[in-house]
Amino acid sequence: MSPQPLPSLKGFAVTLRQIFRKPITQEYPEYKRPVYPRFRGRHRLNLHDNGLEKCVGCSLCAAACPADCIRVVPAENTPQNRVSPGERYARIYEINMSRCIFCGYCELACPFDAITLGNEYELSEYHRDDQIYTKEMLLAPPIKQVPVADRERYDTPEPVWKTES
Amino acid sequence: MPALHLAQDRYGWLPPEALREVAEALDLTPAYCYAVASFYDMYHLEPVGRYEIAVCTNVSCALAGAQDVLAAFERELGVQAGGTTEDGEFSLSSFECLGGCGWATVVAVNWRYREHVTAGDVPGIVAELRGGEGAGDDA
Amino acid sequence: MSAPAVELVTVNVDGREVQVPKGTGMIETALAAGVEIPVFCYEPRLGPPVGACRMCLCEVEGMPKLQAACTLTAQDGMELRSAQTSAKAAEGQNAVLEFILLNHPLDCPDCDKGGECPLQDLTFRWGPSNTRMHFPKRTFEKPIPISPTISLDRERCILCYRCTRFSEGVSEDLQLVAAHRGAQSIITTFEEEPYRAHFSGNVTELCPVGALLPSTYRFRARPWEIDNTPTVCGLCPVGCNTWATTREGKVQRILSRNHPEVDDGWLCDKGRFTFDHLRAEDRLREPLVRVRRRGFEAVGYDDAVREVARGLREAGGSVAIAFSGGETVEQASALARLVRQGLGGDAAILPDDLDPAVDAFRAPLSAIRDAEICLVLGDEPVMERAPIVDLWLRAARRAGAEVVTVGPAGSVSTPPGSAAATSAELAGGGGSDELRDAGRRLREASRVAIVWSGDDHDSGRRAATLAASLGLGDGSGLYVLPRSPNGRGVAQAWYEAGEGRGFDPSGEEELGALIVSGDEAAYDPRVAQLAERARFVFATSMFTGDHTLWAHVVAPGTSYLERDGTVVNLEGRAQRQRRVVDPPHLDELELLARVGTELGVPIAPWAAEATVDDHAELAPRAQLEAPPEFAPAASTNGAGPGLELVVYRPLFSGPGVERVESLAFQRPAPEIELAHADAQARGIATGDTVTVGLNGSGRALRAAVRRKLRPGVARIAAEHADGLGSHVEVTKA
Repeated sequence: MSPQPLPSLKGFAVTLRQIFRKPITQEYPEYKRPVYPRFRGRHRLNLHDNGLEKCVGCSLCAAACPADCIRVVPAENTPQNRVSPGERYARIYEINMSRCIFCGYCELACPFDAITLGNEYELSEYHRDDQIYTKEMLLAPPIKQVPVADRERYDTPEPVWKTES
Repeated sequence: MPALHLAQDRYGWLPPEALREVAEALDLTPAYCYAVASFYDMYHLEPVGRYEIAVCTNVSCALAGAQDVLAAFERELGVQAGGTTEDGEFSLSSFECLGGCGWATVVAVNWRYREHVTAGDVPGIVAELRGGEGAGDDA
Repeated sequence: MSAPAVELVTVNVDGREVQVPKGTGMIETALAAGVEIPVFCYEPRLGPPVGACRMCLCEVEGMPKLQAACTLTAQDGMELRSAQTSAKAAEGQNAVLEFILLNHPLDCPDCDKGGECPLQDLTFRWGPSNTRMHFPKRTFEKPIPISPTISLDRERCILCYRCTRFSEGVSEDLQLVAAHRGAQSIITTFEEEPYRAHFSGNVTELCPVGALLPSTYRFRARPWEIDNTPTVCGLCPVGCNTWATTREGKVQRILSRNHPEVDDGWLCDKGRFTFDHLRAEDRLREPLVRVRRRGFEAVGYDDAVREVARGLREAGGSVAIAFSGGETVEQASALARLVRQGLGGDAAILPDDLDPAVDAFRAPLSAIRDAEICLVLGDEPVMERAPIVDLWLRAARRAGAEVVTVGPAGSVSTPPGSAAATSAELAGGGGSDELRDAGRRLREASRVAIVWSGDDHDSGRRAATLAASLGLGDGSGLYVLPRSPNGRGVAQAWYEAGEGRGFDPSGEEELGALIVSGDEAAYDPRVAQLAERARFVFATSMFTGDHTLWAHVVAPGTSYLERDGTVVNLEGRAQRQRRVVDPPHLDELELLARVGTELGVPIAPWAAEATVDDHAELAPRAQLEAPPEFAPAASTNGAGPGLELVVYRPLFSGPGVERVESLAFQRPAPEIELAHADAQARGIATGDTVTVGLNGSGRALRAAVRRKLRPGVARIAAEHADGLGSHVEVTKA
């Protein structure tokens, strides 16, 4: 027994109380927590309705990026190879996800709403090189759907923004 | 500039070859001659018709109905201002002040002035020129 | 000559009193008072202000309307109120910017100027935040390539006329002009002809918007992604100061870095666009060693160093070296020590061998502009050898100086190759009436500039003698144009490495070993002949190709953008060349150090000798020990049948330029320049095809008739003169 029996007993009481509570542990891969709509996850490069890229490769996102994780190499559109509406397009567009801090400055800097931060947050890879997301990956629609659609399997309360509006 | 006028007299207008000749004669570049020629309306960088009709559309003449006169010419000749008729007879242009504000509207046919022109006079002028009379010689 | 007393006037700018010399421009006056007045079209280097952009509107006490400050000069008691204190001026300035932006497209994210654009900056600081313009903007076809190196976007043009003023008033090529008038004005060249001039690239730097941009930099980088390294151009003996822009370890563009004594902020197209040769496909990346009779094999550096050391050691002192003249002083010094101290050799082919006596008349290049009379001697066109010097001469002429050119195409016509004889006549007061007259005026003037542009034997000493006899004092300058960029530095390094002047290896006997340093030397036919006689040849070269077929070991060489070292320009100014990008192989100096270790010559460590200052200073004049004597002039080419051929080396030539596709249009056309009288006698006009040659065998070239050329003389660029003798007959084809 410890020299101070009373505080120790208080501590055990807390433990005892918790034992009979419902656990709040999330079984993560199976159960996915919904995110707020303005959650800043993986970037997406958007397209115009006619299929052309909105990005013109102006590098303003790279300038705004505090983590210096964006690399843009522009090139010129030709009549044979038209990628974006203007004169220039991004030939290479890479984001190093291991450096990105998801601050969303790139989204703010973009004059064409070409880059937006999506909701996807599952970005782990086995190799560091794979953390560099290329333009093709960023242009693609998200492969992993987050959050999951099955409402019944949520084990977390409804977010405030849903219940109170 | 007199050299450009000489060249224009010879060719009727100033084709690139003429500008090149002038440039060589004066030890200048063709680009410089082109810049000078394009500045002044009285040098022609495109072929013009036998009769050059210039309608003054500057303030005084505009107040006296120059736009109507111009429109009448356009109707009568079937060309827009700045164009030349298909038969190569007439070139029509709207001009800045011709210096005849007291006699507005002024119309210059081959730089010979006709004063107090109204839209009603236009068919007469065109018929007169078509008839081969009038100011055929260069002023 | 003492400077005239400067009258100071007091001007009030925004309530601040400032004293400036009378006649100072108001922009500078305001700056002196600590007030910035924004400008677009104002640029003092382009001549008198034009007040075209109206950006500098200011309120002046006593004048009813707003005034363009750039067109005003400081007068005593003037009260100027800029946009910072005057609401009226601020409103005017705001309106001007709104007006300028009316037809300016808002495609800054597309535009390469975005981020370093004066229009962007000034709009941000002084302009309106939105526009009342809701009509469609004016559009043009864009971009228009006005030359393979420059693209023009007329939508973005704000008609400040900086580019046309440069073309008309600085380079005087009159090719870029403003056509039409008023709202229809456009910047254009003639009939879609390319803007083909030695200094065309400068307009891209002058343009305050994104209208004129270098095509080679189109969509390459953004101002926040680049590094700018201050360096010195190594392509001609002027040594213009430059910024080299790199992105991700590659050179993207070269900009001028204003050194007011050397280049005044101008840079020729060779210096500006040749950087692309760094990425040439045929660049040598590894050392090659000859195997069997005809093949080369790539080897590692260890093997190459061993092979070179063996070859040089076996030569037993019979070693010669051929320099390119583009090496840094450090490189040349390493090579010279290797040959003179390590191997006991004493023979070198030096591209330039100027007598140190010229340093007694050393002066900055800017002294040419301030001269009263300029004398240009020699057969080589100054523009082709040291283009900036030509700009200085033009500036001198505009400032009212008399420019006397003596040569086959000069204002005083002399036969080709007679610069030495002419200089003796000038010094002695003899020669033709014209020459005597010129000599008298040269003696009378207090500020004289002499430019010597020729390959005459011993030109340095002759030039110094002439300068001494004309009594060149302070404020005057003598400029002997070397053939190669760092020819003076290389020669200096060679002489410092050993005793005596060495000898020219032009005998017939067999040579133990030959070191060929750099491509320029490798392309030299004299060197090729020498290589035939050598048992072992070690060459460094940037490029693979036939020009090093005779070598036994070829090591990859570096470009001036890949070296760190000192270069000495034609004035004798030591400047620092910095490494802008790493070479794709071992540095040449490193290789030499390893060879030196094998041969027992310590080369490493080395240090660049020149100061790291932004702008290198010119060393003071050397003392002239004794006035040099005139050596008898070498006899000029004797008379021959037909026309005497003057062959010059064009600026746009050499191994680097040849590998830059976008500069192909700048290279000399296959034409021969004929004098007016000769052309008339043969019935030839400019543009005709003529047959050039002797005894029926000839080649077809285009004729260009020049009024200034001396009768009996024809001029041709070196690359079209292959196989033509000193005299040719020209007939109409």
